[in-house]
Amino acid sequence: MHINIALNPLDMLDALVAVGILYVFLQKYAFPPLLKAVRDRQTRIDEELAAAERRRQEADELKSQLEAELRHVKARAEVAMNHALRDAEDEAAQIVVRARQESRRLVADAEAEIASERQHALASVKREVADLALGIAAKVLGQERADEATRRLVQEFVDQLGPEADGEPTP
Amino acid sequence: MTFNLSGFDPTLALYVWISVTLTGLVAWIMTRSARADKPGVGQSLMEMVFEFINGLARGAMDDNPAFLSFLVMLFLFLLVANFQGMIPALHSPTTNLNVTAALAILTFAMMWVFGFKKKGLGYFRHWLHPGGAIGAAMLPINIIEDFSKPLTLAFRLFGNILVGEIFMGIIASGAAYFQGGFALGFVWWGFTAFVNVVQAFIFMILTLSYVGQAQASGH
Repeated sequence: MHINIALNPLDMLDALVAVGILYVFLQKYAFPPLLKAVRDRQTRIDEELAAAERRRQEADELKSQLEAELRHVKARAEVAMNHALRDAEDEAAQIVVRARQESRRLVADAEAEIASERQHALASVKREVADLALGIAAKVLGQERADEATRRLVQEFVDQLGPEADGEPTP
Repeated sequence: MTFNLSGFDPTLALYVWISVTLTGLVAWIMTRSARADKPGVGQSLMEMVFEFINGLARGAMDDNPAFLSFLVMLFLFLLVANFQGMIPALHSPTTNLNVTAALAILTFAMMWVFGFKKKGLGYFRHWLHPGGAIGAAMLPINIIEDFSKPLTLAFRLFGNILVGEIFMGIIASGAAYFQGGFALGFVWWGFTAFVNVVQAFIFMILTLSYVGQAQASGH
């Protein structure tokens, strides 16, 4: 192998020209597509980052909106629930009042019926007593049937019997 | 070392142009159908290279897409040029000092252009660093340091790649004659591949560093 350490300007110039041409060639044909691809990728990444950021902001806005709506719905539901509770309480109170009135009415009706039945029974007893008394009187007087005067007398007596005589309990 | 104005080396020119053509072709094939959604293996590799060098450049200098492209081109070219020597019947153009010197001069010129563009004549103030009487005394050392940058760049790359290639040749030619020759050849082949990548990276990162230093306010 021949080792040459002689400096030759023409050889040096040749090397410089070759490197210069290589630089021009690479700058014109090799590097631009590469740098363009890198730039395009960077642009795409930037765009995707921007889009992601936009989507994040939209999601945040949507979240805030939904949270506000949820708060509103909760408030409305609470109001509705309170209203329903009040209505239910009112209704319950009304039912209780109505039930009390009904029970009072039923008690009053029952008392009235009892009183009526009692009067009816009393009248029947009075008739029975009068008939019995008249029968006894007729037997005593030797008559088949009591006459009209006796009948009226006994009837007046029985009618005059008051509550005390009727056995009505003293309040 | 001689300085020869007449002896243009057509073989070297051929190797240089093979490297340039291969670099351009490979880069073009890897990126021609680049797409944003589903990058292929080639596109992904190129994007990794761009991203890696861009990450380094961002911390070292002002944002400059054209210079970033230059750094990527330089790295790819040096990678291809260094590996070209591992292909049988071919040589790496970076085993010739003229090529590495040309690239180093390019770096040096960029250092000055970027520094001058940013600071004007104030760029040369760093020759008087750290200022005062000491700065004046340091002037020749600072100037030598500035001019030694392209020299070290050129010789580092040249020396490393040349040594790798020479040893590869020696081992390849003698492998059949001693025990373990092929295993040694394989190991050296792997080591040379590693050195090729590292040297391409070092040249690129030093170019970035020198240009970044030239732009830096404290420089």
